Amino acid sequence: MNTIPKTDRFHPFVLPFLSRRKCGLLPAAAVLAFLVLCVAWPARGQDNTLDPRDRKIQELEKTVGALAERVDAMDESKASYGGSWIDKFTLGGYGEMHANFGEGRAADQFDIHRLVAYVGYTFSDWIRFHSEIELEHAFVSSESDGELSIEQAYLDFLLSDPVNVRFGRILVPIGIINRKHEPPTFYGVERPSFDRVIVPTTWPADGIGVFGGIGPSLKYELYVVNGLDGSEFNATNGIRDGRLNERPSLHEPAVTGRLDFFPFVRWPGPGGFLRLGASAYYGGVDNGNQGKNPGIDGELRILSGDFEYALSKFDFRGVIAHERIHGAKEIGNGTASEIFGWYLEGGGHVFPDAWKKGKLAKSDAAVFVRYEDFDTQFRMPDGVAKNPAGDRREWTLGANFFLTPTLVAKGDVQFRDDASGKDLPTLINFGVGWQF
Amino acid sequence: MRRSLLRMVIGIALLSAAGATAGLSGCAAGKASIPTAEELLAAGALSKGADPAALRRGRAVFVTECAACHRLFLPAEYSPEQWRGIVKRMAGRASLAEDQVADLLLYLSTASRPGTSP
Repeated sequence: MNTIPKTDRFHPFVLPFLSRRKCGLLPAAAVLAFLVLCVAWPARGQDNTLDPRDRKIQELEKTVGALAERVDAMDESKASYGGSWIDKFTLGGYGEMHANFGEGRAADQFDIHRLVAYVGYTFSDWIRFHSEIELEHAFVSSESDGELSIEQAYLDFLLSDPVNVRFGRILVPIGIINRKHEPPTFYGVERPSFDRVIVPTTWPADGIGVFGGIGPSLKYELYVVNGLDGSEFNATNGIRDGRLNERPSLHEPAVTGRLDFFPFVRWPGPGGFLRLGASAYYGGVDNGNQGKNPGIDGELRILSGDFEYALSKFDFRGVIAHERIHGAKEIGNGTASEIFGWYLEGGGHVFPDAWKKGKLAKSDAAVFVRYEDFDTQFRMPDGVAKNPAGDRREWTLGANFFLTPTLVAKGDVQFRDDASGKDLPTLINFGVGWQF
Repeated sequence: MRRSLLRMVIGIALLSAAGATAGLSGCAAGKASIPTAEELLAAGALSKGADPAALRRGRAVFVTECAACHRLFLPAEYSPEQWRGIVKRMAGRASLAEDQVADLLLYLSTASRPGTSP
């Protein structure tokens, strides 16, 4: 009986040849050659024997596919501006809760610092409304620090890439934090102190202006807005208390604007993102809430520069600002004739890629350090004594843990000192912030 | 005043050194995070028939507009389908014109396809 050894158990097609051991090699080679030809022939045929018309049809099919993708994208861009009335609304918001602990006599507190709602509406494909309504410190009364205010409320008229019009309550476009202040967008629990007294955030102003792009790498904004109330300027808070929120007087308006240059728009650079910004502000200070003027004769000029640089797992940012106040002596309150400050910050993302899976797939963690140097008494009017408490420096070291890209837990420690020689308490802060 | 300026110069020098170190380490790791249109074209990532100029404009919109309000999320962090949803949500907030949205979607859908980032 001609049995087939176990090792010869091949496909039935080749079996008869391989089972005849004496002359099995030659037929087997022939079969293999036949199979190779069978496999190779159609591919070869596709390459060289395809009719030119068929090839053209294939190319046209690919082109139609690409055009269909483009049309889909256009449809989606149209859909994003609303088909139904509900699609015309944009809703969002952000918030942050802090726990602040101070060394020594400094107060320890829990603070629902900000709850903010965005509401927007698309009137047409070229007219949009945006607003930001904010509640600070969770409670508002005549004796509390709590505040309910409209931080932004403006209409955008999109006319063309280089020229668009904005009208309403906008954020003065100086520095970084005043325009980009949602908790997941900055390091540290509290906003930088520079952005409290040098470029006070949030700094809204009512007015009208234009914005747009000059080529792909340059953007600009330019507005005419209400000026500040100079009677509220002082030695340690600088211009902060001069901001107006309720029916600001238009007695002495201000002009403000900024330019942003993005050198890596066309060029990848070393693989990162770089923005270089310059901003300015010039206006009178005889303005007040409820349309009343305090009767101050003075002017404020601000020049500022800022940058943001992100590369691989590192990011850096910095701001510098110089303010000149004409009429500072007449304003009084220890107001300086010049205010100057800057800060630099660097952070590194340390969350291992290997941990980014499951519930932590979009998580991230970063450690950072920030140094701030600012002086609200930088140069004094003749005959006015300098308050050394206005000359301050701060080191902030901390970490941000992004559970998701828009939900962040933060912790930091702040070492502070000023030129008065007094020991300022070291602060330890924890916080949670979100944006949606 | 002089001390403040001196501290600023030292700070900028330190930050520049850190930036240069980061740059070198980033280059050494080969992490080009925001691929240019040219890099995508060279990689053959653009669908046939799609407009390379729209791809360039889309990257410009991505770099200049998205980072105005938040950190710049990299194209590879989300899939093309996820980007479509994100752009749809964000376009109204950012006051982007329709053609800007279309260009942005083209760039993000091209740059986020697996294997297209250089």
